[in-house]
Amino acid sequence: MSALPLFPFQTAAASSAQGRGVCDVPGVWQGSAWADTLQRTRSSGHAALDVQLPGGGWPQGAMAEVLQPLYAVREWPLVLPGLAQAITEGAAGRVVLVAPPYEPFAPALQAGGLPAHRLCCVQATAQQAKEAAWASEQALRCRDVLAVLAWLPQAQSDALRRLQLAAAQHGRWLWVFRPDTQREQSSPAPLRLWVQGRDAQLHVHLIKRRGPPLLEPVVLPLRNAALAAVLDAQARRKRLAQEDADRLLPSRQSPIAALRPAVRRPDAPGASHALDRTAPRRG
Amino acid sequence: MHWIALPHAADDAPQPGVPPEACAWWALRFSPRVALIDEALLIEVSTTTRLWGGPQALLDQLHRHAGGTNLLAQAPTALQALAQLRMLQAGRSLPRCLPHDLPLTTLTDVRPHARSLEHMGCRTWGALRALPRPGVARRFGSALLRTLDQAWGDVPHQPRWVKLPEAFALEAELPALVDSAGALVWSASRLLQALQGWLKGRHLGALVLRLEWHYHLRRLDGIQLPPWGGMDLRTAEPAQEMAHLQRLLKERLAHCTLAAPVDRIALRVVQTGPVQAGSASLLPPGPEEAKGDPWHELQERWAARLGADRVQAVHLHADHRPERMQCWHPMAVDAAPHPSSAAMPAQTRATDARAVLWPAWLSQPPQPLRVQQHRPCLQGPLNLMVGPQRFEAGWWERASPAGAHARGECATGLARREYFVAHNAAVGWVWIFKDLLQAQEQSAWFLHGFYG
Repeated sequence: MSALPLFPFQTAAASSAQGRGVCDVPGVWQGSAWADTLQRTRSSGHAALDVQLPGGGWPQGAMAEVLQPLYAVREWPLVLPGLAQAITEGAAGRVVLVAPPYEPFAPALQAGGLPAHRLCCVQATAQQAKEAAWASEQALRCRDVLAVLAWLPQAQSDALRRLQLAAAQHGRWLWVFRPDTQREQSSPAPLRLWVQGRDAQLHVHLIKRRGPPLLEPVVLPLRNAALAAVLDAQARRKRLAQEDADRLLPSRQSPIAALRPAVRRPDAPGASHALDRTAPRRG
Repeated sequence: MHWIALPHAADDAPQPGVPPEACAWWALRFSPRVALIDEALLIEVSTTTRLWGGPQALLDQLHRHAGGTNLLAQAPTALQALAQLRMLQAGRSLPRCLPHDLPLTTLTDVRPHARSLEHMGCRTWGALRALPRPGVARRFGSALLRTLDQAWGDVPHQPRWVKLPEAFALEAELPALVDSAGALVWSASRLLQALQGWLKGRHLGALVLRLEWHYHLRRLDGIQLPPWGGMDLRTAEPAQEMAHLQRLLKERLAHCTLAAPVDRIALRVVQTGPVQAGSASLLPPGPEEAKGDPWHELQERWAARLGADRVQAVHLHADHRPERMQCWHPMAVDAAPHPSSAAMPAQTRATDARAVLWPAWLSQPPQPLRVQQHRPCLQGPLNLMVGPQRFEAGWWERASPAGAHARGECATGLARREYFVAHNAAVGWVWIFKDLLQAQEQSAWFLHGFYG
């Protein structure tokens, strides 16, 4: 008999939605709305990213999975501002790096706001995926840990699930960095980001979040402002040198003749060269 | 006098080698007067009841520590408590009039005479006490009368008190020969339980333990074996809870191999320290309250499984060479501050002008780059965007073998380099340097960092 309702929950929700116009069953949200922001968060340090992250920052007690091309090490510009801000706000605890792909340069991180004595690094080779996942899970269970950054390119889904559970139980920050070839696979992480670098910018696609899907990537600066300024200055200097060289170029056949127009004299363009003048007579 | 009788835990798990007293050590934290009589553990608590917050609170604590057993009897004398416990263990309800109506079989010393007494119509303690004493003494011996007096509390009862040994050293026979180290964990955990009782009784925490195992064979394949093998187990903070030590032991044993089958193990405490009892908070913990294991436990667990050199901390040094600016070294548990770590306070670092150009990742050791048409190449020619930043450092040092890659034949640790920020589309932004000491050679360019 088909009179039996197949989906009792659905019909109940539908009837209540019809009754009140808006579905306000606790635990059920519409696709276009944010999920309940019970999750504690901390600001990511990027205003553009905070707007798009559920709860307005990196979730505490949930795994954030960051997918990026292999050998593109763009973790720190993404993560460091948030960590630095948390530490200046007085968050205690250490930052644990599990199986980083290269040697982290602690002076640079300290200059970015992450003190070196807060850093702890657990080395694991690529073959020890299980050990690395275990070490990350143990770190999440420790009360003196602020955040765990784990590079787990080969972690299985069950290991990630355990990590997510441990993070949820103990309310730590957890970033798991994986190659973007894993993008199509399912993941227990409630927040997944796909990071691409374009010139001087970081395009962050939020491919999974507790909220409406985001079609446009979030654009973040790849380098800090100081380095960008140095690069700009260098580029400007090079451009000027190039312009000078271009001015030299058409008259390269007679360099001596070309010398006069090539020398830039913004103060007195019409005045003759000093070498042309005769020396003042001594009186 | 207030006696509490508990069933003794040792009877269900015979552990040869472990003295039965060791199973009563845990009770010494509740009272200094603990005795083992026959199959029961008896605790005299009249002097410590107030310390534990009243009789009910003390009973609750005992219930919790006794390992889930609900049987527990209390009485003014030890033998009465024991008799009540025996009745409860037999599943019988207690008589209304105590101790008059307790059956005679509940007294150990009366048991041999219980049958003849029963023929006389004498079944309870009260009936036996009502008999004329000279006649009872003549017929059954004066020991019976003395036991009855002790049970009644008329004469003092001095059982053999359980005492804690000065040093903890226990040996246990294994139930079977063991040839893999992992199988020692179970037996060792029994010893650790006894250790916990010892530590709690002495208000100490274990710092260094030594677990040893006795080889069953004197020689194996013609090689003389030492009689004992063993390992040390260390922890940074004095530990009284065994969960952490047990986990460490498990990890350490998993990496151990036994030279020969083992028939006995021994556990010794090498070093102890005073332990601070944590005071509980009056308020329930809030969501912000940190929960979890302390840092040193995490660190020891990592070290036990992965090896101590895999867990690294960093020290910063004042130097111009990037590879010398930081030193990743195995994290010591009780780390004394590094001598040169004070050379560079954190504040000066943050405002260092050079910091602008530092990358977040180092490629260590520096990776030599190919040179094509006088340009360094890494998956294509690199464009030098910023630089050069030049320094000359390290002339005061002798060359280290690790640093020899970039310094060639130089006898000192001299490094003269020009650093550039370089870019190409394939690898992104990198930090490279030109080794001026090798400038005449072809491979003078090295990759030293990544910006991402």
